[in-house]
Amino acid sequence: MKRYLIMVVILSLFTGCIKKRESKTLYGKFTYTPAGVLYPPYSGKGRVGDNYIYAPNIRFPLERPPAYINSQVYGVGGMYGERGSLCDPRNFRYPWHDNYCEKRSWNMPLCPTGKGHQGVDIRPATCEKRRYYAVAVENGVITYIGSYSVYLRGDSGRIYRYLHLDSPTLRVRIGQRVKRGQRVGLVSDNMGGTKTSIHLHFDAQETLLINGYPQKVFIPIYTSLVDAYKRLLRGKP
Amino acid sequence: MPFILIFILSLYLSADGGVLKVDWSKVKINSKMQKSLKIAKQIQKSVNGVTLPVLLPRYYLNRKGIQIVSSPNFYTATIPIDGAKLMVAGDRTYQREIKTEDKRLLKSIKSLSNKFNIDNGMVAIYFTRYGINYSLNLECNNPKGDKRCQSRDFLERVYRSLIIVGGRR
Repeated sequence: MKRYLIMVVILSLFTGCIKKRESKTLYGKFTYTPAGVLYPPYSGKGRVGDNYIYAPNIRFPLERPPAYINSQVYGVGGMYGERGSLCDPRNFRYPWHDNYCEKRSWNMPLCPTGKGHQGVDIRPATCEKRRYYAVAVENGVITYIGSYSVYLRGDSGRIYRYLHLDSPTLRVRIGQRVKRGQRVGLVSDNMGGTKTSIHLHFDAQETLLINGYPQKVFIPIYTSLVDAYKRLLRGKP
Repeated sequence: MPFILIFILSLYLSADGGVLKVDWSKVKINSKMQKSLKIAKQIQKSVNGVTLPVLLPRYYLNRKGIQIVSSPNFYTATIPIDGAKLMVAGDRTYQREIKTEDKRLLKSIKSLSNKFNIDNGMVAIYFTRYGINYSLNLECNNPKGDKRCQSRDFLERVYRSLIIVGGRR
């Protein structure tokens, strides 16, 4: 019996080591380009040099790695990207590229051109919809659910938007309290009656009191997500 | 570039967040009109403890299925309208205080208010009233086929129909 127990312990330790090695080779080495450096360069003008972490200690919004932050519009298969499939493997690999402030018509006072993308687009591990969970980035309450958006108001007062989750399988309802890391829904290509690529659009809004004048703005979220992802990879999300 | 540097520096110097003061002197409630509108009891109950003026569009006050999430410092109303969802939100909190003399940033911030945004199949407007932040957001089930989500016209009519339905000092 004793021998049997020792063998079980040794085996479990051994499989644990294998898993760790596998995870390293599976995800590759996590690399990312600096905040504000958009790719390709003609996709817009970002906040180069701003490395401030605006939302410190948030959890990464996807439950498990790997995940890839890059442009949907200017990536392979995107509207202004290289011709090809949205599922092209080049869209599912490091390095990450910031796409906050990428060319859009939305008014964005913190973007150098005054307009741009409100947040970042995150692709899950593979090009499969309804497989990967998006999770709450902090404790809070679900304040709104539209046909393809979910709003989480964190206890910090920040408002996080999750776009393109699969509506029928959402794990939350309006008014529900959620805990950091709790499942919100599955990443999909849902954009109402129109399809988009399989990704999570994630952004965060804060109210800034600028010289006594309050204004709600979408904050640069990329650096906060790099920080959160490093913690997720270390197993301490 | 100096704009960004100054802004980053000012962020580092910023204080923690807090609660905005409501300018109640500018709040004018037409109680006769409020009574004539017969605001659904469910709405009145939901916004009872909110400490800012609660704005909602007059057209939809008796619509079934309205859901309101609220606390003393904020409210968010979800109003289902045919083939779309309308969100109305008011918020007294702020997360960061910035003191800056950067004219470009100040101009950019002030010009942002009352502008309609159209993107990602949604139409939205952010505005400040009574010293508080409010927002309206329209999300269509079929963004490409629904004209309401392709121009500002529909949301502008909703914006113009906002009235105070509750909130206490």
